[in-house]
Amino acid sequence: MGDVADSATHTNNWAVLVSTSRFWFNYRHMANVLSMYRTVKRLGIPDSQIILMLSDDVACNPRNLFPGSVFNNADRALDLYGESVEVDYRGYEVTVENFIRLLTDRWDEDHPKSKRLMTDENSNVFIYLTGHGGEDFLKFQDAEEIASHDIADAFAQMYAKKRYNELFFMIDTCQANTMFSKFYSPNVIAVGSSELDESSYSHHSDVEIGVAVVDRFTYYTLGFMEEIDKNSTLTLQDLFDSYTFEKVHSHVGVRTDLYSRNLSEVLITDFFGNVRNLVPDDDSVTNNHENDKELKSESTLLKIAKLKHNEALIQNTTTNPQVTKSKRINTDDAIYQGAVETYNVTLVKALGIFILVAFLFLLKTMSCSKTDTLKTTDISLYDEHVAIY
Amino acid sequence: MALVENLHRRIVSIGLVPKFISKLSQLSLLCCVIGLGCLVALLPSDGQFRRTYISENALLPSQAYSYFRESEWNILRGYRTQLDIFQHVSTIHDTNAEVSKWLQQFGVKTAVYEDEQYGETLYGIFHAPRGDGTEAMAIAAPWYNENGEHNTGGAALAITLMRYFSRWPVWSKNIIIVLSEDPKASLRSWVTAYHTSLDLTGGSIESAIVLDYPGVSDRFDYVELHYDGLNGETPNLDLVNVAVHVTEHEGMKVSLHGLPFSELDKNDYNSRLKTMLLGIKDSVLSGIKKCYGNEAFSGWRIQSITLKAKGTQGPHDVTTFGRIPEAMSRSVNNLLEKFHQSFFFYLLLAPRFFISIGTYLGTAVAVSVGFVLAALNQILNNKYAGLPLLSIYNIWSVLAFCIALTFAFITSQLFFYFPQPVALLSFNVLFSALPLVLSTRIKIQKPFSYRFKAIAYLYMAIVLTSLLVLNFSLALVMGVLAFPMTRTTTITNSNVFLSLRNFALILASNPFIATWAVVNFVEPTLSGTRVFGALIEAWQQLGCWTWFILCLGWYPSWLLVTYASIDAIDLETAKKEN
Repeated sequence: MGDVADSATHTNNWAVLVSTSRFWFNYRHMANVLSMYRTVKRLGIPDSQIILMLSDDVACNPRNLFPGSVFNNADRALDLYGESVEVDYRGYEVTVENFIRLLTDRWDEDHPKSKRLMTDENSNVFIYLTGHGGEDFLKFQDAEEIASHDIADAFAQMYAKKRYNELFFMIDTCQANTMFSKFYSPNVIAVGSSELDESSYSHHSDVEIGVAVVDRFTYYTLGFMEEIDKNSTLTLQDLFDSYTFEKVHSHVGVRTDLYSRNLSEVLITDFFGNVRNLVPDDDSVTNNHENDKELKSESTLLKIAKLKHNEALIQNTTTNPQVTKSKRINTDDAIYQGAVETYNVTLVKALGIFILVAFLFLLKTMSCSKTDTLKTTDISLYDEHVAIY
Repeated sequence: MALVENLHRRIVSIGLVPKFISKLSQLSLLCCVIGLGCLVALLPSDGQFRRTYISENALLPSQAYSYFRESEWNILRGYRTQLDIFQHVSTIHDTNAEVSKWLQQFGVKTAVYEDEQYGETLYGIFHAPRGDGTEAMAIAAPWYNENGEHNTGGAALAITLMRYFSRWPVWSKNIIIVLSEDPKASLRSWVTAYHTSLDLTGGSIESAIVLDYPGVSDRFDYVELHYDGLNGETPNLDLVNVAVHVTEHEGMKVSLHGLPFSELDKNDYNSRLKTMLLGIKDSVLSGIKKCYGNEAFSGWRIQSITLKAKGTQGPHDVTTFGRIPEAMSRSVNNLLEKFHQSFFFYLLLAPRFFISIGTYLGTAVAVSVGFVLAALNQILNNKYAGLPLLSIYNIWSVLAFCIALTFAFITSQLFFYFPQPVALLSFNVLFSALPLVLSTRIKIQKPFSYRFKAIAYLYMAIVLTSLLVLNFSLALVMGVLAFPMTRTTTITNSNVFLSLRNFALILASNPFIATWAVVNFVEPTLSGTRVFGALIEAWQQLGCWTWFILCLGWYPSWLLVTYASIDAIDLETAKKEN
């Protein structure tokens, strides 16, 4: 598996997550994209490298029985909207124009950096789209459409501008596979939920909220993702093999002809996770290209990327405990086993206290003559400590 | 062009046009027969109708679980017991005051609308806690239903539902409860006032559900759904579909147009034909016959239906009935815009089968084409075809038409002041007999006879074609009932048989006589001459314009045709005699 890890050539990861639909009854698209957001964030891509586009009219919709919350499962174990969701493009900003501009980075100079896709030729970009589509088009907010040609051309521009190393395109909509049929840029790998003339289905409804909460394709993708962590060795081939017609109820399509690497050698984390092991040596980069102006600017870009990367690492370490904060046990073998702790917190606490007490007791017996003061130690302090930890 | 030229030559060579003209009379009849035949034979047969479907994605009927269950039962029972006592011991004014207090207890703003003529209406608005307050859904329960029974269950249900709704945080639209005195005049008066003069309002009403659950029984058999609006309007098919879907989802059966329970499971040609014809009847007589309540909301872009619980011993309990308005409200609540998808004009063949306007409209078009052909027949198929456009005969016939129209208008207005249906009918019978009585005494010139009829048929055709999109049922029924008048012949030689035939045809196609006869045949509640009073009432209370269509659309033509049926003499003989 060491070979597998070595075959990746990128230094940073970006994700573009788009829910193209609006309105309350399209709740599931919001849930889809927020689940994806949560997953890539959990696997290590920092918020600064995630561009999240969504109509954002669901969480605070008056029709929402759980104001301020979005769930992707009827068990409502996980509030996707609960903590630190950074939406970059919201409401009416989710347009075809903005999406294309984002990909090709054609903005005026005042456009905030946080809303830009600042990728380079070392970036692996994951693009996820969900919404209502048809043959070769995807609706944006019931107002306009993006054609498969538009996306293909945008990718070509990205390639020409060296805006990606590898690109993973995932789409969950009706007749999704038509959307990547027109791609022609190299190093693009695409997966779609359903083929031509085929609908993409929702997985289940929440009878309290009164809407479907997640789509099948996304549901099983998430299910797969929950099983992997940052140093997982599962590959894209494993992901694609996990889709069956019985699960998704439509024919999942994968496009690999533009992609040179063998899928069974491509780690999932190449696209979903942030890489920390592959940061190139600072000196070698600067020394090698000292005289080359262009490449110099690139190296500064790299520096920025690295800075960001470091930031991300810091963020990452802070956000990680948040992700696994939930105390609920997922009893049915639903997909979020990874998300929710599968052990009983109180049990762990009790065990910890027991060990501590045992340790203290041991200390006491070992040096009872020397340390009489230990007797007065307040056990509850330790208790609290354990709780915080 | 060559093809068209060929076609033209061919038409000329086989003399199609003269043949066509000579057969106009038969063709006219054929049109009417085709129209009627299509309606009766074709539309209800397999392959002609479609299954209903929810067109608006946002509605999601029954997607949310309905919780109006046993927990609400005792509350409902409490209100109902109270209302049952009020019914006997207190006036509606006092009841309203008391119910108003109940509603205020759970945050509903109430007001009483007082109409001097039609009694007072209590209404309350529950403002959606998180909604923008520009739209509303109405739940209405008249104190007395169309049969004069006390709507104890319906009113108690409406109040309980309001209480229940006030505990949900999911509303995006305000909810309005309306408790009027009856489902007709007083409810209509409130709806009009809501849109014109009331101070306490809750935004534009998107949907209205009228609950009709007479008596205090806990149980019922099935649900009757009434949807016909005034003047040929129907609520958006999506709302009807949601109602049907929800009702069947909760395990109840839906009856349309008052079909009895035993016929609800049938799905064959006969049952579909029956439902369709009953639908046409209910649509024509909507507002004229008994009103269920949904008619009152018609005409303000409010989609409304009435849910009526039938029977008292059935397997379903009153909370099941309450779950229909609950789930429907959740559905309508999901809407972001007005009902705009689906169909606004349709005929239902069964709760789940419908014919769209594109399919059935042709039948009424065929009937009105029949009138056009009859008019052409009167112009072309006689030796006066070549008369110049501004000949004295044409001008006189237009003038005569204006006189007939004026006369019809005066009749329509006079009837408001002297509502004497018997006099109206007798006058029309006498007038029908005029040609027979006059027989040889007074004669009219032959060209007049033809031209009068031509104008009459043409006017009829215009009226029908303009009406058929707005009020298909009325246009079709009127066209078919008036059609006999096109079969009258112009008589010159005092043929007794032909005179009698003309008399019969004219009698049959008289707007008042035909209406009276047909309504007596199909609607027992409007037996005798009650239909005329009901027509006037429908206009005064609800704004249903059927009376004026009869008087101004149909009557002038009939007057002209009757006059034209007086024995005629040729121009030549008239000149000789002079």
